[in-house]
Amino acid sequence: MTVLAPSLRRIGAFTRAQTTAAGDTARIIAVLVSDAVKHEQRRATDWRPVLRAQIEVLAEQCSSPNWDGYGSTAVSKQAKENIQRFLDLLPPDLPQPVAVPDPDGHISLCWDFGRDRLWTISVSDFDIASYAGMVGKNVKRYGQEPVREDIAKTLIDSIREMSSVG
Amino acid sequence: MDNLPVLVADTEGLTRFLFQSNQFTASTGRVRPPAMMPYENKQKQRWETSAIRTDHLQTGEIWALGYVHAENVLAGRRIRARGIGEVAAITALALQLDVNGNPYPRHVDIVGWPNSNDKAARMMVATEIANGMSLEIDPRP
Repeated sequence: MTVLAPSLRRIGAFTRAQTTAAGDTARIIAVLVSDAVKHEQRRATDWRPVLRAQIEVLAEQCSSPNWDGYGSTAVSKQAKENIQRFLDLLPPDLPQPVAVPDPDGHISLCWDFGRDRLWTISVSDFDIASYAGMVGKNVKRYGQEPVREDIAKTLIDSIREMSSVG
Repeated sequence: MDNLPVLVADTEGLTRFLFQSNQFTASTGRVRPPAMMPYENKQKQRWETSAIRTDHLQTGEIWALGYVHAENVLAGRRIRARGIGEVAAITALALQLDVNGNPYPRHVDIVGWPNSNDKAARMMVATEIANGMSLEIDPRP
């Protein structure tokens, strides 16, 4: 007999699929439960679909030149797609950024953890990610990295570093 | 009220009007770096960020300048907030202020940004400016 301990609803993010049974069926069920937990976990913490939708709205709002009253370039469909593609490469367990339009018509992702702890990434039409931030008082980092599947460690580690400091 | 000296003192206050709600965080009073990024003025061949000098102005007068000269509701540009900083924070980053009085006497352009294709360097400067700014939300209902 296979006994699944808790119902799916009561399985927390770090709960292991427990069963008192042995054998193939039990193992298959354990894997299925484990997958279900992971799926729920992803669904609960993945901010990317929400941000993706926010970027759609932002791109629409800034689709005409001079959206900031200071001579800015319109946010193009290409710029929107660039940042959305980049977004999909970010690990979902990173803190959620905010999308902000740039005067040059690109879209930046911003993380702000308070004074001296902020980070911005902007993606160009040539798949170059420009980044700049402060990871502490007078600790500045900026540069460029090509956008690729294995997203540059510099970008991710700095964000994790800032978010981990209380 | 507009008899300010042509030379801008380091102690003077500056304001930048913000038109997008995602350019700032109201709950923490923080300005986000892209709000301070310059745009490329191809005619003058330079990067510039618009701001206004606010010395000797009451808060209401500062907002009035924005409503009259910067805002254009018909074009969909409504002021949401203003970023507040000091000239000293700008000049400390090796930037300068171009007092050109256009489109209104208190208007200045923050110039001297890293040029060419080095967007990351401009982002770094904008980050440092924004990091030191405070925020005031548009008081209108």
